[in-house]
Amino acid sequence: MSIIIETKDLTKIYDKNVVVDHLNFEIKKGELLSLLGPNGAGKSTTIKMLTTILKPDEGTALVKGYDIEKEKQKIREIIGITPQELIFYPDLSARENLIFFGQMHDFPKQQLRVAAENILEKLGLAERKDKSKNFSGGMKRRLNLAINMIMDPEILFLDEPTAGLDPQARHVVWDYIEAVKKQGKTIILTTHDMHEADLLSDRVIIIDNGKIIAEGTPEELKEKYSERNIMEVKFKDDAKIAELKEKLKGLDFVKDILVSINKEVSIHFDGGILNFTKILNQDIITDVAEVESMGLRQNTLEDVFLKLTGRRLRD
Amino acid sequence: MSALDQILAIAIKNLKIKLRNWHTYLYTLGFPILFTVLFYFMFGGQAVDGMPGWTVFDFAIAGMFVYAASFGTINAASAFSYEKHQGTLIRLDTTPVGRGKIFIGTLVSEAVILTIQLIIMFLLGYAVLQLRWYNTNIGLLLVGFGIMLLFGLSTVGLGIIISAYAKTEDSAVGIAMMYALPITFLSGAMVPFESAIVYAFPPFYAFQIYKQVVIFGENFWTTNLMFNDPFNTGLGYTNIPLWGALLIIIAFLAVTLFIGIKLFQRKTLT
Repeated sequence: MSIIIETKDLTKIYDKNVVVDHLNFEIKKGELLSLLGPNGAGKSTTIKMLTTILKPDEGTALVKGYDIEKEKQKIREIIGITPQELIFYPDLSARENLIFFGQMHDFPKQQLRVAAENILEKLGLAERKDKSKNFSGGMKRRLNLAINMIMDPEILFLDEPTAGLDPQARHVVWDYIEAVKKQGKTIILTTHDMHEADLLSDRVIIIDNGKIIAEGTPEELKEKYSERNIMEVKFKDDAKIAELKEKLKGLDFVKDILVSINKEVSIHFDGGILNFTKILNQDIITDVAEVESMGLRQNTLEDVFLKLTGRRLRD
Repeated sequence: MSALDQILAIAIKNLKIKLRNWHTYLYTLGFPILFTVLFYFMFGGQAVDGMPGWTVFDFAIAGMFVYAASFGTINAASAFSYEKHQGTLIRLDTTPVGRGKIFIGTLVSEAVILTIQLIIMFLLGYAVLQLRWYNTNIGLLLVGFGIMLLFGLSTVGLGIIISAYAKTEDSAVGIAMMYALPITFLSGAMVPFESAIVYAFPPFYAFQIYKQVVIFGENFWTTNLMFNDPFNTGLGYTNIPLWGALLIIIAFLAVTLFIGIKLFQRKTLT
């Protein structure tokens, strides 16, 4: 696959704060790449620079060979963006919004009418003929995405497309993204939903404080940065975490103990269910406080992030 | 799809948004109609010395038209702030359409709103309130309509300047209103104002040209602009031809539009 996006030391500085710090990465044609990171990591700023909205302070990027500073117009002809904010005309209906933005991309109105009906049908908005300001939050988010789709761009930038959606609506959007991907389009997705990134991405770039801290397929990242077994424990009251850590360190199969700010403890260990029962049998957990919930689960990208930064994404 | 189609699509979108909001009607029609009806009842019965059959309001209606046309500032401030604060301007920036077409499309929609507004005001003045003008010559009314439309468009640039700096759409409209009403008074268009300051404000020229051409029936090409003489003390004519006064309005249009677009671009392009 050929390279369609390439950044070279891409940097953005706001008031002396480096929000995007010399990013270097490539995206292949037809790939779905997720930029993963907590709020303020620099994901949206990176997207804004790649979509020509923001000017980089240092470095540059090429989108399909076009320079983001010198060939903005060329780039705008091949991209579409679903911004994180809900951006459309609230006094127009969903249909009117779609047709208008399609017209801005030079598509004939007749063709747009048919395409708009299709997209609205797929995203469950076809019944609504009224002003979009009357829509529910989830419907507004789907309209925000639909505007990107009507433009039928070669490269799609989706900035938190499912933020605030209920699980059902989220699946509708995921199915739609999958369908678009199958058409061979390149998709750059930003999210802090690890499950979303895991499910949809061909490749993931984890960003923190404006820097790339890890890069690879979801499987590669989980393999490289996370243990195979994770026991998660949530305590009812203030647990004696230091005591717990001390006791767990005595077990040679325990590889890591991570504590989030809301006192959720993740115990990373080898040996599967056998060692899980060993921890339970020794009453180490129940000795430190009353347990609210406990479970064994497969590792996720969240664990990768936790491992790399010592924080959970939502912290 | 041609550039013209895209400009029309932007203009139609703007018109839909404006005409679906009740405050558009309040700003563009409510206030001018209210002032017209109010002034009609206050001055409609006052006779004019030396002009039997004419009332003060036959002249004052020109000021009402100027006031209505000044709302071009408010409408433009509202339209550009709306795009800026909704974020739609930035979303449009990621499409190939370009700022040039956005500006032209918005100017087209402003011209349409202004035309509708002036048609209603002219109908109110000459069809409903039965005001007089020179020889009841329809051609002169059309010329007057054109002058007011041009003046209205000349106020749009200031609206763009306001929208470049305003933090919200509401504040843009507020600032524009704070500008439009006092300026109409200071130019002597709304009520007689015996001061040389009137020459500093374009509404004075629009008001005076309209009065001389449409109400007095003076020749646009050969007559000069009158001095500001609200109480008819016989000051006579300045050295500025009427067409020259129109050029002042056109110059104001070009300069404010140029500055407005420059400032708006500087404030909104990153």
